[in-house]
Amino acid sequence: MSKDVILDVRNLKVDIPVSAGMLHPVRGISFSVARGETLCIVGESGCGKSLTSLALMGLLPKTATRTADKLDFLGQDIRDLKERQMAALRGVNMAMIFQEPMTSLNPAYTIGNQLIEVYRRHIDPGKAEARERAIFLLEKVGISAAASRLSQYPHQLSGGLRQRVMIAMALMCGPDVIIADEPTTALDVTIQAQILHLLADLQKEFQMGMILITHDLGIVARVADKVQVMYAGSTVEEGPCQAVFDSPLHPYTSGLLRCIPVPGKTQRGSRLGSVPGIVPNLVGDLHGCMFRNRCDHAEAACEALAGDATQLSDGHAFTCRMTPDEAAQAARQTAREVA
Amino acid sequence: MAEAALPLRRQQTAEEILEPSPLSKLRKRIFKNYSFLIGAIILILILVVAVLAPVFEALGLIQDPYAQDLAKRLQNPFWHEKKVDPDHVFGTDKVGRDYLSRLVYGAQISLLIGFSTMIISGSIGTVLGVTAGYFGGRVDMVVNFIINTRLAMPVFLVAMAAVVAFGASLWVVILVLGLFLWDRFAVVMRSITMQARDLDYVKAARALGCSPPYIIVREIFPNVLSSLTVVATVEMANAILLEAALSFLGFGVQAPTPSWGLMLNEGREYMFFSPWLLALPGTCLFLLVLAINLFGDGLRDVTLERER
Amino acid sequence: MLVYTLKRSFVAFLILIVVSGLTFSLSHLSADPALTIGGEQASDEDIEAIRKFYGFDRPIYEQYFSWLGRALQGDFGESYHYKQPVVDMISGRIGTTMTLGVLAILFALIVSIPLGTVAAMRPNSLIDRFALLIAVFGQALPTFWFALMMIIVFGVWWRMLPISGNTTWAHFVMPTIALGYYATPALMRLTRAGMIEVLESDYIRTARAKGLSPTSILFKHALRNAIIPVVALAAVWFGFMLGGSIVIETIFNLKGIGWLSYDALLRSDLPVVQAIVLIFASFYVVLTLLADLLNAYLDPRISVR
Repeated sequence: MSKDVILDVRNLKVDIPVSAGMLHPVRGISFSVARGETLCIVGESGCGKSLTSLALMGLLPKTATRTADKLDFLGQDIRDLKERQMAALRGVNMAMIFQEPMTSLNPAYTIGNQLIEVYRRHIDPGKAEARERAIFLLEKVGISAAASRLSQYPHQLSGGLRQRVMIAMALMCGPDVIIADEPTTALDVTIQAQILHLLADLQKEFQMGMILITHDLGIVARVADKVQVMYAGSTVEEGPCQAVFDSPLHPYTSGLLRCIPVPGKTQRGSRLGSVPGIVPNLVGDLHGCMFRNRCDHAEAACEALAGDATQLSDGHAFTCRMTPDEAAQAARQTAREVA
Repeated sequence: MAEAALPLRRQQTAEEILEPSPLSKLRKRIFKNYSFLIGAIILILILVVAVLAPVFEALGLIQDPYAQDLAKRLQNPFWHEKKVDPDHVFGTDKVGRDYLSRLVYGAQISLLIGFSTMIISGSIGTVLGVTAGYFGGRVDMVVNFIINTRLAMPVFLVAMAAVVAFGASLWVVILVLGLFLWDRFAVVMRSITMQARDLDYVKAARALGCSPPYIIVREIFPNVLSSLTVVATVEMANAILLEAALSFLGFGVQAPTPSWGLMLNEGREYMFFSPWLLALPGTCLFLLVLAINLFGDGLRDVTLERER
Repeated sequence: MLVYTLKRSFVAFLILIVVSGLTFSLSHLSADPALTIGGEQASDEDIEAIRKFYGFDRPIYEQYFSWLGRALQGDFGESYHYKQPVVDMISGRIGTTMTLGVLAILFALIVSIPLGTVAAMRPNSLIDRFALLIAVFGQALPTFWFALMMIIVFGVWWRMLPISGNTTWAHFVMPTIALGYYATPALMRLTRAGMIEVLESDYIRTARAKGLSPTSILFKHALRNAIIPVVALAAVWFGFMLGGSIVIETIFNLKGIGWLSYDALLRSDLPVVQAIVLIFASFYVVLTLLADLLNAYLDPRISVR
């Protein structure tokens, strides 16, 4: 483990009591993010990606409980921090960008007010310096006439601009890690790429760690250093971006990959793949591989799968009953079916 | 395929997970019905007492509410330490009428006023609201103006003026309140009709060329019925309170009718030495209105539950 | 926005015309004001002369428009009973009613906003249940009876507060509570509902993600947004309360315009009654208009419609 690891998470779990029993939306996730590194967490809706990010920030709903074997942030164990101590980290050391730029800004205050307050709370209570920083960052995120934008209200800005403001807000105190939870889902397709490239550039420039949560694999291929594929609350495959994309091992990963067209490879008019079925319900005692009801390679052994990952040499790992060779074979088969 | 080979537990959809379980629903309903239950019980009790008042009188349980006995004025109620008359458990008023009997007959008056007012105002408000909501456009604009005009009138003052103009009597009070308290009916009916008009099957009925009256009665009315009953309880309570206030100021029901508001008026000059003359009718009024409100709140929760 | 304001103002003005027309015809069609003015000893000739003098022999709409014309210039005629200009009678008393109304609405807001906020922060907690209980009981309590009971307890038994008149601030305590508590349930429920909605909003999550202090999140970010509709509703309730002041002023012998309207009705003093109806209606219309404009200002989509 290199020493500039910012965030180290082992076996993170989130449990939420619901009327039907105990819901286990996040069931033992492990990962680490180093300075200047981008980790992408991918998976379809409802697989626990957003709750993972909220769990890291300590922003889970009151009823939810978070457990982990290890939750180190900047070398400090943050598992048992009080709300007040967490609040001191949030905004300064860890910042978050949310999915909904339209509703994530307070409609009653100017964006200047909302940008400045976080700096004044954490860094310096003076107004002038905070204002300068806000203008600097608004320019950084590509907003023209930054100084005059400060006095605008959120409803006067478009969705893309608001998300840029959200990014600037996250950067106000120069965070060590930035968590972006599907930052472009609510935006126009044309804006999505701009925002993501902006995020990637800023992350390099400020040498932050970044956790980018998305279900858009096209984005992942371009910006990720590491990829973590989540399904039904647990990791099914993880590894360096290149390795996961070039040789996906878990049937779910290969299923996801064949859903995206690849320029030059995918033939015009051919059918894109899909993963049939839905994410299962995560209430109560769960055992075995959760993907087995949607998997083409499912066998009786899947029901007893313990959930230990099969490690490959380059940090690539996957969780399946199949051996790496079998899995690679199965993945190639999947790819052929589409082509 | 895989699913056949590996029968998993039945897969629940996301909605089913988010939906509260039958158990918590039941718990919720019991808790909410708690208020519904209390309201209904008090309401039924008052209703039975009011309706059976003549029977009680015939049986000798209560007395003639109009019979004066000047020798026994302002008798103390049963909880008073000294000089209690066993014939009058709740004491007597300033001309020696049995207070219990007057309270029982007062329930009749309050319920009569509440109910009649609610029928009149409900009819006016529903017709206006449904018309506005169904036809929209200009009709809606006109009705909206009428509603706003009505809201701008200070009800209490104008009601007093109307009572002065037409003479104070039970029926004038009912008519005046009925002609005034339709605003909430109209507002609620208007918005619900607007929503109902856009329901698919209502659209279908219109596309089939059904006449507006037919659609309103057959397709839309069933949708507004539950809200209508809830508004009706609110307005009934409102009417009862307003009548009491009018009678209290002398601009409502006239003596010797045993109206609770009027009893408060008559008891006012003795309030320092015989405070029960005020405490008793006021408590009755409070209980009745509380019961109607609880009943209405509970009804809303129960019907909402059913509609989901 | 300007067009919207003008349109709404015009409608508000139209409403006032209709309200005053209705009250005018109601009072003039039913009773013969000449009889009231003449008193019981007046002969038929006297009555006839009074009719001529006041113009009661003219058609009702003519009388109305001449009254309206003068009313628009601030002349509400002369009291039949006191033979004083109505404007003078009202201007001497409206201060008392306004004081009572403002105190009552402030009382209602001071009780309902904190209670509604705390209830919203801990839904289904004991405080929430308690607040709900207060709302349910408060709605069922007849205002005038509540006032009488306060007089008995605080004025007579404990002798803490004066029960009649308006010479000191202490005289306003009980009337304020009696008038104000009636608006509390509605305002509290709205505060609670608004707070619950706001606390679950995305921008509150953003504020938490920024590591802001709980006080800043609650007061700066949540309360301000939740409170806007409450203030708008309070404006409307203020209009209602002026109407409710009739009963309260009569009970506590506070000689404001509510009391004046009661007195005028007892004497069939129509010019006074008409003027007060118009004043109450104007207050309601203007306050509703302001509340609507406030909402339109805060939500630009409203005025577009």
